[in-house]
Amino acid sequence: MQQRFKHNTALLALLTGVGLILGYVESIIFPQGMAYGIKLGISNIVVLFSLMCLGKSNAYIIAVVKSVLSGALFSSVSAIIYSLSGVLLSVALMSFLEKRFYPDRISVIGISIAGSAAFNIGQVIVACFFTKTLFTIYVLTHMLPISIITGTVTGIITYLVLIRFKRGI
Amino acid sequence: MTNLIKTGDVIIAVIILILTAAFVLLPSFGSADFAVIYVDGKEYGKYNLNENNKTTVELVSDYGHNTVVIKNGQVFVEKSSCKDKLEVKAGPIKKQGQTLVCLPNRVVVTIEGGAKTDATAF
Repeated sequence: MQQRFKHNTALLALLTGVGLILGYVESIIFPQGMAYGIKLGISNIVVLFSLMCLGKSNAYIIAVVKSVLSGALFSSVSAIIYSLSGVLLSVALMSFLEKRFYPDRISVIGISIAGSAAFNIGQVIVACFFTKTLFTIYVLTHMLPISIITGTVTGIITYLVLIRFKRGI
Repeated sequence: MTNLIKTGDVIIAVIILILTAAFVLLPSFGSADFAVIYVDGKEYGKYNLNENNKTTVELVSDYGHNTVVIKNGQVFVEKSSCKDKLEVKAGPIKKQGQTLVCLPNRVVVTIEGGAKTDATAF
C-alpha cells in the first residue's frame, strides 16, 4: 500500500483537508476545549492514519501543513507555534514506535496514546518559552492523564478506519 | 478485537502515569510560605501566605486582566480575561511548588518556601 500512494499529492491534499475539517468540527462541538483546555484531537486520526498507510515523510507533511493552515484559518499565530511543536514531537515519537515495535509489541492505540502525550509535552515546552518560567511545566499534571484517554479514543477510531481501508483495497 | 491491545500499549500508559505522579509528588515537600506572581516571565510580587488577612491582586498587562486572591494560606485566581479560564477552574493552591498558569495572559502564580531564602540570607 505504501508503494502505491508514495507520491500522490492529491491524496495528501485530501487527507490534509479531512484533518482540517475534523479539527474544525471538534472546535464547534467543544468551543473552549473540554475541561482544562484539553482537546480530543480528532484530527490526529488523519496524521496517525497517514503514518500507518503512507509512511513517515508523508505524515510529517500532512501534520505540518494541517497545523499551519488550521492556525491561519481558525485561530492565531501563537496557535500555529503551539500546534507545530506539538505535532512535530508527536509524529517523531509515533514514527519511532511504529518502526520499532509495530505490530508485534504495540498496537495503533499505544502509538496514539504516545502521540497524544507527546503533543501535549511539545505544547508545554513552547508554553515555557512564552511565559519564560519553568513552572509552566506543571500544567502537564492534568494534561498527561487525560491524554491517555483522548489517545485511546483516537487510537480506536484510527484502528477501525484502518481495518475498513485495508479491507476495501 | 481480542488482539487490539498489546502489552506495549499498557507499558506506554503506565510510563505516562508515572511521569504524572512524579510531577505531582515532587513539589509537595517543604513549607509553603510565599505566593509569587510572575507576569511575562518577570517577578510581579511576593505575598506572605502565613498572614491571615485577605489580599486581592489585580494584574493588568498588555496580554490581559487577572484577579488573584490570597486568603488563609491559599491562592486562587478569581477572575480572568482569558478564554479557557484554566487557572480559575484549577482552584486554590496551598502547597509548595503548586502552580497556577494562565498562558494567554502570560501569568504564573507559584508557591515557594521560605527556608531557602533564609539560608541564602545568612
